[in-house]
Amino acid sequence: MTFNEDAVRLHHRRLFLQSSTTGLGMLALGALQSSHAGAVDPQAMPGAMGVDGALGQLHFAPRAKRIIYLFMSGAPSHLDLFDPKPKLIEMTGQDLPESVRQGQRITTMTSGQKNLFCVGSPFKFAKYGAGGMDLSELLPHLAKIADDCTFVRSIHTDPINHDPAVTFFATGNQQPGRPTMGAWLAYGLGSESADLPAFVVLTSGGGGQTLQTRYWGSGFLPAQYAGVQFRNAGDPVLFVSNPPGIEPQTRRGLLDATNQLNQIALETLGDPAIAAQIENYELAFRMQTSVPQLTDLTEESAATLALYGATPGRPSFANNCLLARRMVERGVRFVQLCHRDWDHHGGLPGGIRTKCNETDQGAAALVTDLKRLGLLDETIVIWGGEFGRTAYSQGEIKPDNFGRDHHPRCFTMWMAGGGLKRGYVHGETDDFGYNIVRDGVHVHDLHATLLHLLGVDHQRLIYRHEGRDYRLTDIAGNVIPELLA
Amino acid sequence: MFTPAVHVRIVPAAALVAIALSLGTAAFGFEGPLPDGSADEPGAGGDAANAVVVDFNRQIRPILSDHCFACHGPDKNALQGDLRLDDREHVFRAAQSGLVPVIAGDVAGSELVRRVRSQDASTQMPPPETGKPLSAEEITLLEQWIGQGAGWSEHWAFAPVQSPSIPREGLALGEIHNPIDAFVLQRLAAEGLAQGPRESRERLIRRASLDLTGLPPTIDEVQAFLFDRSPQAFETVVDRLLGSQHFGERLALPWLDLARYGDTSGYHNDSLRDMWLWRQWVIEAFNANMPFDQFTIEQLAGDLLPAATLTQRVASGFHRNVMTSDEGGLIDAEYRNLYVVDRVATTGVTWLGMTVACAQCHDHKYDPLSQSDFYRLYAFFNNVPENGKDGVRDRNPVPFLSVPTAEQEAAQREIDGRLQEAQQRLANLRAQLPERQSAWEAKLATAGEPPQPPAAIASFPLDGSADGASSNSPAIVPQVQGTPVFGEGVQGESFHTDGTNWFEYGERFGFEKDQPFSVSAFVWVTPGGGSPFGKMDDGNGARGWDVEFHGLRPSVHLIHRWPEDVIHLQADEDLPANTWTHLALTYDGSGKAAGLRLYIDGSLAKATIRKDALEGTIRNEIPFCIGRRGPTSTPFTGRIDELRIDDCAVGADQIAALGAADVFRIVRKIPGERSEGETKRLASFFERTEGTEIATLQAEIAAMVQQRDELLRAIPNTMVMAEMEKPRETFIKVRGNYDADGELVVPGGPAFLPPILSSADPQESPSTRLTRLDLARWLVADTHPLTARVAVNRLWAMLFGTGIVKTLNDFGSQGEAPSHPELLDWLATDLRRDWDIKRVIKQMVMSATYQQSARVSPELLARDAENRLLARGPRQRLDAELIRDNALSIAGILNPRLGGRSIKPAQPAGTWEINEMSGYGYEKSQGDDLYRRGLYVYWRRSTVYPSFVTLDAPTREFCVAQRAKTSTPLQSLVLMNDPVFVEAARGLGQRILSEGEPTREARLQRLWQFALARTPSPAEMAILTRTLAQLETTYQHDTAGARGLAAVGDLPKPTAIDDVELAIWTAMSNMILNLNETITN
Repeated sequence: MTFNEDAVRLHHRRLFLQSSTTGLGMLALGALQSSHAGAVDPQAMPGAMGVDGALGQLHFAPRAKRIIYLFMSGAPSHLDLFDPKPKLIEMTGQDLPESVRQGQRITTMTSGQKNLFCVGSPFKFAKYGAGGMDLSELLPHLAKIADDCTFVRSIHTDPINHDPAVTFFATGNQQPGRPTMGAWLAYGLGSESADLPAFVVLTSGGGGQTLQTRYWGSGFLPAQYAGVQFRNAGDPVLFVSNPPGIEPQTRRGLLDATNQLNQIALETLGDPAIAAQIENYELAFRMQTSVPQLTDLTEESAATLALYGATPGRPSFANNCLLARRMVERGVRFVQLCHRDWDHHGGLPGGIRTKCNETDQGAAALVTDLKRLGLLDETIVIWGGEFGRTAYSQGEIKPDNFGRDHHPRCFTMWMAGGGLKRGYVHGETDDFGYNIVRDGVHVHDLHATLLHLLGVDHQRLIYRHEGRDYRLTDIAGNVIPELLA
Repeated sequence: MFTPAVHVRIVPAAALVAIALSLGTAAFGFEGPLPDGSADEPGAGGDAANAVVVDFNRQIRPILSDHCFACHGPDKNALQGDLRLDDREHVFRAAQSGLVPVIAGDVAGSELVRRVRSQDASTQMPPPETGKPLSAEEITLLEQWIGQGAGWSEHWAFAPVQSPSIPREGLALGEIHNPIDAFVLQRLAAEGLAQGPRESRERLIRRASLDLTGLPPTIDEVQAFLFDRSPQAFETVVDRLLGSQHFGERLALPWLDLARYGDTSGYHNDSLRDMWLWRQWVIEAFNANMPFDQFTIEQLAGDLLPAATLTQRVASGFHRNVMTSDEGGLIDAEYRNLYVVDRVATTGVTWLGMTVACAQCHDHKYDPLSQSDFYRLYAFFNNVPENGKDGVRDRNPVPFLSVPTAEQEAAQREIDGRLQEAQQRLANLRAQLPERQSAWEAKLATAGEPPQPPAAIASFPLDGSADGASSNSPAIVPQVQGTPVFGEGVQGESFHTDGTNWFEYGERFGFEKDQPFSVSAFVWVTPGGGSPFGKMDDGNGARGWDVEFHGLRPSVHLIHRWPEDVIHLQADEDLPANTWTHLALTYDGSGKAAGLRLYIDGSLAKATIRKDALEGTIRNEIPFCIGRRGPTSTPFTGRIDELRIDDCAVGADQIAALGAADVFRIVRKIPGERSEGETKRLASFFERTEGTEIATLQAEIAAMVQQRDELLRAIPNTMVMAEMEKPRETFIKVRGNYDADGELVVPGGPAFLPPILSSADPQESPSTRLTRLDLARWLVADTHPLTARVAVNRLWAMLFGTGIVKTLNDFGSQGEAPSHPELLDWLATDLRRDWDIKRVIKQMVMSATYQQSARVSPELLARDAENRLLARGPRQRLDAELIRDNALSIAGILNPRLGGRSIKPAQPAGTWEINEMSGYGYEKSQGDDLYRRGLYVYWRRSTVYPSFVTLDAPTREFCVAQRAKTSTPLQSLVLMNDPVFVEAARGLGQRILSEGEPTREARLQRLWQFALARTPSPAEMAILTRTLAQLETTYQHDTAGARGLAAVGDLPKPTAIDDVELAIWTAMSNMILNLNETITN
C-alpha cells in the first residue's frame, strides 16, 4: 500500500478541526490556525457516528449525557393536564377580563369571535409527590412518578402558529434554516455509538398537525447531523435492508470488492474522500446488523412490554418509548419522539383523553425503566408541546364539548433525569392560566439549561454561517439554576 | 509572499476585450504574446521591498471585522465610544478619549495596539466577556500592518471591479491555454508549486461531460475523443457538451437551489403547487445561452418589461418560489412580511453575494448596510398582490398565469359553449314546470288515498313531544338533552335542533349486522350537515349505525371499526337545503353493502358504495339518539319529523307511500291555504319525482362542470410577479417586528453601492418611484461591483468545487477573501462584456488548470488540502440528482426528455405520511417517467425525496448558494439498497447481457467502461473477475434469490434473459454503481 490509511484519516480529522470555521475546532486544536474559513469543507467532515464532536471537550462537568425529547405535536392543554384553575370553572361562560389579555395578539381563529368565554377544565385534579404537583385524572401513570419529575409551569414562547412554534422549539428560531437541538448536539458532542446515528427521530399518532423534516433537520449544518428517522413500517432506517436476493454474505463479498477497488482508487488518486467512503461502507454494513437488533422488541421481557404497554410489531408511542430506551442504552445522544394530534380547537374533552391514553403510560414507563436500569441519572427525559392553550373557548361551550386555541404566553412541560431537581414544581401562572406571575422560562432558557446539563455553555456551542456565528439560543437564553439539582 | 496589489493594472476596456477575445478561444499550446505587464505600482500595503507585506483587505480587515465590528462597526445602535473601525476616518483620528487608534508607522503609539495587548480587563479589547480574544498571530499581524504604514483600502468586494493585466511571470512553468492559467501559474510560482500533469483523456472527457451536462460520456463519445488527434479534440468535445440540451439542465441545478425552487408551498401543510413552467424557463434560458444580464432582468422583473411576453412573465416567477403558508389562524401581515424579507435575502445572496437579511432587525454588524437600506430593498418587493395566508391547498395562490396550449384553449371554448347551451335548456325546462305541476296536483288530488304502510316497531311523530310509540311496549320516553324545540312539521309539529338539543332513548334498536332493519324520517337539512339520528359509539371506532350528512349529501354507515371494518353507502346527490325531504334506509341483514338501500322521497336513490368490508359486530351500548348519532358525536342542525323504525327491510312500495304521505295531504289543500313550507315541499317533491329530466340535465351539467374543472386544472399554471396598482407603503420594521412600523421609506439601494437609476420616462411617468425593473437593471449595470464577481465565482465553484471566494454566499467583510483576486476581477470583467455564460464556462474548461490530473500526492495534500492553489485538477462527488442521473445513464435507462411537470419516482412508503393533512398521497409515476432526470423529481419541501436529502440536497426552504458534500454511512445504504439504485443495477445488468459480448471478460470490461469511461487496470480486472465468480456460485445455488433480485423495480425484463444470469450481473452492477469513482466526476 503506497498510502498509509491512518495517515489519511489523521489528516482528514485535522482538516476537519481546522475547517470547522468556528472557535470550536480551534478550541480543540488549542490555537487559532484559520480564523476565517468560510463554508465548512464538507468532504473533510467525518460522519456523525462513532466520532468526537467539534467541541473536543465539554465546558463543564456534564450532569447528563443524552436527551429523550417527547414532543407532543399540536400543543396539549396545560389547563386540563397540569395547571388547574378554579377561577375558570367559576367564570365558565363569562368573558375573559381585558385586564388579563392586555391586548396581546391572538390567532385569527378566535380573534374574530364576539366573546372570549372562559372555560374551566372538566377534569379532576389531585396533588402528587413531594412538590405537590397538581395532575389531571387523565395522567394516572405520570402521577406515580411525580417525585422523579421537574414540572415547569411557566414555559413561554413567541409564535402563535404551529409551524413557526415547532420550528422555534426545535431550532431557537421561527424560520427554517437553523440546526435543531439534536443536530447541534450531534455536531458539538458527536456520537457515543459506533454504529448508530447520534440523533434519532420516531413518530407516532396519525392525523392532526403535520410534521416537517425540518423539525429534526440540520439547517445550515451538513446533512449528516440531521436526525435519522426510524420508521414504523418497512425498513426502520431507510435502505438498511439488502434488496431481495442479496444475502448478508453476498453483500459482504460485494463490499470487500468495493473496498478493494476504492483502495486502488485511493492509491491512484490520493483523495482522502475515498478513505472516508471506505470507512462509511463498513459503518453501513455494521448498521445492517445493529439497526434490526435495536428495533427487535421481542427481546424485551413480558414484564417490560407490560410496563410500557408496548406490543412488538404494532407501532405506537409506547413502542417508541421502549425503542428510545434501547437507543440511549446503545449511546444515541438525542432521541426525539413526535406524537401527533394534540391540537384541540374543538372536541377537547374527548380528544385530550384519547391522547393521554396513548401517551401517559409509555412516557411514565420510560422514566421508571431508565431509573430501574440506572440510566436516569445520565439521561434527560422531556415532555411537552409547542405552546399551551387558551383559557377561553374556541367556539361554543357545550356541556361535554369545547375547544381551546393556541396560547404561547404560558404552558407546562415536565422533565426528569440527570442533573434536574426531582419532585419540583417551577413557576406559577395567574388565576386564568393566561400570564406568568413568577419564574418564567423562555424556550431559549430551556435550551440553555439543557445544554448546561450536558456540559455545554450555550454561548460557546457555535457555528459560523454566512459570516455570522450562530448558536441554538440565538442571542438570548439563561440557564435556570432553580431547575438544577 | 504573494501580494495581490502589486500586479493590478488598469487597461483600457477596449484593449482588454481584444486581449480576452484572442485568448478566450485559444486552445492547447497557446503561446501568443501576452500583454506587457505594467511597471509595478506600490500597493496600499506600503513598502513592497519588505519580505512580508501585510495585505489589509486579506489579512487585517477580517480580524477587525470578526473581533471589533460588532461594537465598532456599521451598526449605529451598537456603536461603542463613537469609534468605527470599519471607517477610515475614525481609525486615524483621535477618538473620544483623545487617543488615536492607529498612527501609521507608529506601533507603540497606536491605542489599538495598547488595547489589544492589555491584560487589564477594564481596558482590554475585545472585552473578555465577548469571548473573542485575539490570537498572538493576529496581534502580530496588526502590529506589522501598522509598522508597514497601515495601508487602508475599501473592502475589496465593494470596490469597483478592476481590469487586471494578465501576468507575464511564470509562463515558463507550464502549459498556458488561456489567461486563467497565467493567473493560476503566477500564484503557484509564488508558492513554489508547479502545475500538475494533464489528466488522462478518459478521465477528462468524463469530468467535462459530468460537469457540463451532468451525464457521463457514452463509450462512443470516449472512443471518438481518444482517436481524435487534432489539436482541437478537447474543444470539439466541449463545444458538443455546451450545445447539448442537457447543459441547461445541469446549469439549472444550482440555480434552483438559489431560487429555492419547490413543487410545494413549504410551510405547515406544505400544499401542492405548480412552478415547473418557471423551471422549464430556466433550463431553456441556459440552453439558449441567454446573457446573464437578461436572465437576471427577466427573473426579477420580467412582468414589468415593456410589452412583456408570456415567457418573460413566466420568468418573473423567480420570487414566487418563496415559501408560503395556509396555516389556520395565522396573521396575514406577519407572513406577508416573511415573504418580502425572504425575497430581499434571496436577492442578496444570489446577486450581491451578501447576507443582507441581518439588517432586517438592525444595521448590519459587519458590512455597511443599514436597516433603512434593507427596507428600501424590501420596498421593491412589497407590492405583490398576494396574501399572507395564501388561501389554497391544491392550486397556485394569486397572482398566477395560465399558459394553455392551443388544444386546451379550443377544448375550453368548446365545453363553455356546451355548458351555456345546457344551462339554457335547464332554464327553459324550469319555466315550464309550474304549468306541469298544476296538472299533476289536480290529478293527484283526485286520486285515491295512498296505501297505508304497516305499523312500525317504533314511531316518533315528534309532535310537541319526543316520546315514541311502539306497537308492543309502552311509550318510549327519552332523556332530553338541552332545550327541546318543536315547530312546524310535515304532519303536526317536528323537532328543531341547533345542535345543542337532542334525545337519547337508551339502549334500543341495537341491531346486529345479520338483522334486517329500516329507518325512515322526514328531514330538513342545512348545509352544516351532521347526523340526524343513529346509534353509534364514537369513542369505540364509531361502532353502530347512522345516517350522516356531509354537507347536504346523505350517507349510511354500518360500522364495526372505522375506517377498516365498515359498510358505507353514500347518495350521489345532495338533498335540497331548508325544505322537507323524506329519507329512508333499508337493510336486509346480509352484511353486504348490496343489501343496503337509500330512498329519497320514496324513490330508490342513486348511491355509491364507498366501503364494503364489514366483518365484526355493529352492536354497541350507546343510546339511540335523535338529533345526533351518539351522545358525544357531531351535532346536527335542522329538523326531523315522523321518524319510524322497522325490524325488516321495508319494501319499495311502502317506502314510496311513506315518502309521499305529506304530499297527498298538501295537494288536497287549495293553494291559498298551503303554508310557504308546504308550497316549497310540493315543488321539491314534484321536481324530484316527476320532473326527472331536470335531474338528468342537472347531472349532465354537473359532469360538464367537472370536466371543465379538470380541463382548467390540466392547463399549466405558474405563479408570477405582479405589481399592485397602488404600491403598499413600506416602513422600517422596528427590531424587525412585522407589527412595529418605524420610519417610512421608498425603494432604493444601499448607500455604499452605486445609485439605482430610474428608467421611467419622466414625460410619461412623473413618479420618480423606482421599480423592480430599475433594481434588476442596476444589478447588471457596468458600475456594479458585486453581481459579475458573484456570478462568475459561482460558475467557478461549479467546475472547481470551491469558489475563488470560498464563501459563495458572503462577499462581505466576514466572508473569505479571494484566493486569486486578480483572476476573479479578470473573469468578472470578462463576463460583464457580454454576459455570455457558455463562453465563460468554455474558457474555464479549456484552461490547463481545469485539465490537470486530479491526483494528489500526500505532500501536496498536506500543503493544500482544499486545492485552493489549483496545483491539481478538480475532483468532486456528484450532486444528489446527478448521482441518480449518472446511474440511470450508465444503466442505459435514462429518459432524456426535457422539461415538463415534475415526476414521482419510487419512494419508500410512508415518506409523505408525516405531513399529510389534506391526504394528497404520493402517486408514483408510470412508465418511462420513472427514469427521468433528478431535477424533475417532485420536490416536497417538508419531506424531500429521501435519497436526495441523504446525499446533501437542500430542502429548498430557503436560498442556498452551495451544497455541503458529506460522506456518510447512510449514503452508502442509499447506493447499495435504495430500490431505485438496485433497479438501475438491474438495468445495467440487462444492458450488459443484451449487448451480446461473447466473454465474461469482455462483459466486465464493458461494464467498467459504461461506469467510468476507462479500461480497468489488471489489478481492477482481477478483483472484478474474482467477484463475478463468487456471484456465479451464489446465484447458481440460490435461484429463488436470483428471481427476487432480477425482479426489483418496474423496468420490463427481456424474456430472453435468464434470472440467474441477470441476478449475477445485477449484483455486479450494484457494486459498480457504489464505487467512489462512479459517484465522483
